[in-house]
Amino acid sequence: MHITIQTNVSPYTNEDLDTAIRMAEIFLNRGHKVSIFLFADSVLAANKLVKPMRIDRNIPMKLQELASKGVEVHICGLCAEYRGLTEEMKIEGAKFSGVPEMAALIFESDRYINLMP
Amino acid sequence: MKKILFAVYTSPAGSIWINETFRSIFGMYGQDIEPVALLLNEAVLAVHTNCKPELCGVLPLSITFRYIEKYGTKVYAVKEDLERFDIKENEIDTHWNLQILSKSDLPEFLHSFDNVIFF
Amino acid sequence: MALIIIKKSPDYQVAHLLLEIALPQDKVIFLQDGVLFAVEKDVKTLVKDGVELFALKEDFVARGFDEKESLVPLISYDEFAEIVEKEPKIIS
Repeated sequence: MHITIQTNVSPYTNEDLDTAIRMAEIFLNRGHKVSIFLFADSVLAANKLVKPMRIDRNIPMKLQELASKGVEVHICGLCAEYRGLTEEMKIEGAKFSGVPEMAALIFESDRYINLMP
Repeated sequence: MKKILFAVYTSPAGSIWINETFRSIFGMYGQDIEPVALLLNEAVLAVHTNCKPELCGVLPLSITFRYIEKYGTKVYAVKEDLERFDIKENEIDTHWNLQILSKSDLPEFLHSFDNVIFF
Repeated sequence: MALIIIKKSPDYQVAHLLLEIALPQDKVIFLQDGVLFAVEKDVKTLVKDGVELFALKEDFVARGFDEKESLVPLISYDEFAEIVEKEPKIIS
């Protein structure tokens, strides 16, 4: 089954990225194909330059780890431009896409979970 | 064909979500998807002819009108929410081509889609 | 039948709206601050008969509650995934 999770709000301020990452891990363990679509402020979660306190989790690195395990991490390109997130700053394995890719994911996915703003 | 409802509940001037909703909707037409918009709670403020988010520096709503017309996008709003903000039918901008739903119609309406995405 | 995911606390009108639109045989899962519904005394009266309510255990205990305080069944992430696998229509 292909399951997509869409996030919309910023990491660290909100719980959504943590929820999305937990869901992705579980779905992956259960043998599903998983995609994450980062929309609006949630694109900040793909910035590898974030520097959380040592005791805190590194959300971009967790996303990168998921990407290395086969999770497709989509970053809304226009949202990223708006927020100054460049190609050099983004985590490995994530790709800039956009609303057409969101549409493709909505169409192709067997399940589409949106974490509302 | 998948039928997808984008339900916006957030304010048109206080957040970006009405514009992001319609940007998402217009992107859906590249796939075999029928996207529909539903405005509820504070989002219904958007349909008033005098609603001008650009006065607060937010993108104007009017940028969506051309595409609503081009694609014939169906836009619904909840009657009780319009009444709560005292928005009369003659105050609704005709560019929205708005259809009005009663709150009691919402359970069946939301279940008639393959997916519902709230913004 | 649909799966309705509620992540907003009972202080949010939209969370109540999502409960109101639930139809019999729907499943509602509370997560994040939505789990606060699990300690609302009247939570079961907020939905139609036949709507199944669940709360995510991890998010519930993270907010300082004891598992036995929940008025709805608590589920693990794996059980959450099982429900997602069964319900193609998601309202969230």
